Amino acid sequence: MKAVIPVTCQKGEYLISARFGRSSLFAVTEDETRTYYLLKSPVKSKSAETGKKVLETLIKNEKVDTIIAFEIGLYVQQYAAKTGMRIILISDKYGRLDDLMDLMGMKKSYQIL
Amino acid sequence: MSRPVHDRKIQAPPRLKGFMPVGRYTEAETEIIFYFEEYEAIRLLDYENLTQAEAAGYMEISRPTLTRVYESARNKIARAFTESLPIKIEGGKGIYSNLWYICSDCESKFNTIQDVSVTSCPLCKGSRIDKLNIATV
Repeated sequence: MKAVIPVTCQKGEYLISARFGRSSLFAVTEDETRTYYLLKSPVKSKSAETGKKVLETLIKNEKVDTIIAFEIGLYVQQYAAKTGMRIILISDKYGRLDDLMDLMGMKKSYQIL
Repeated sequence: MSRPVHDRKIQAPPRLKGFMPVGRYTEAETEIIFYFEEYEAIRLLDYENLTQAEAAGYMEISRPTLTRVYESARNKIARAFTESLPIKIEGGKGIYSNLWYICSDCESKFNTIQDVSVTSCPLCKGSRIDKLNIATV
């Protein structure tokens, strides 16, 4: 499983973003190495269907096959279904990226900003 | 005998179980039950800004039926706002368009990929997972 998680940075702390397409950062987890890294959003514009464009790019460049988020919009959901991606909707108790990574047993590898 | 109500397709489980008014103590008995299909109608029409025809297509119901569901949802929201009543999302005739599971350990909900059988949670690897066939939070 290679998962993508929308992330936002507030006062130096990484939090799970509530909106996939509008997220400025994404964490990508790798099951094999039990690590994750951070990426800037590959799409600059915030027009309609931004989430779908982000996902399209992440599938192409990072080969992600799973989305982990609080919730996702209809276009992202439809695109994920079309491409056979798994969707995991997490509980609100995992608001901090560190908490979610602890749950998944992931360690930070490197950061691309 | 009246005609049975068809199932209404829900894309994904809602994030919350309901809403509470701020600054007012309320009894649990006074809460408004908001059906899953009503939540989905509001989400598709007012949040995703779909047309009624498009939303009806996603929910696999006729447009007049969607209009009735939407009207009911709007009335319930108006009543909850005006009378400051809590809203609880449950019940109705909603079913998920995909097979969804819930993990009792980490409380995450996840769908399946191409009907692959699921034995553990992909997030926490816990084995206490249940199917979400009928729409539940």
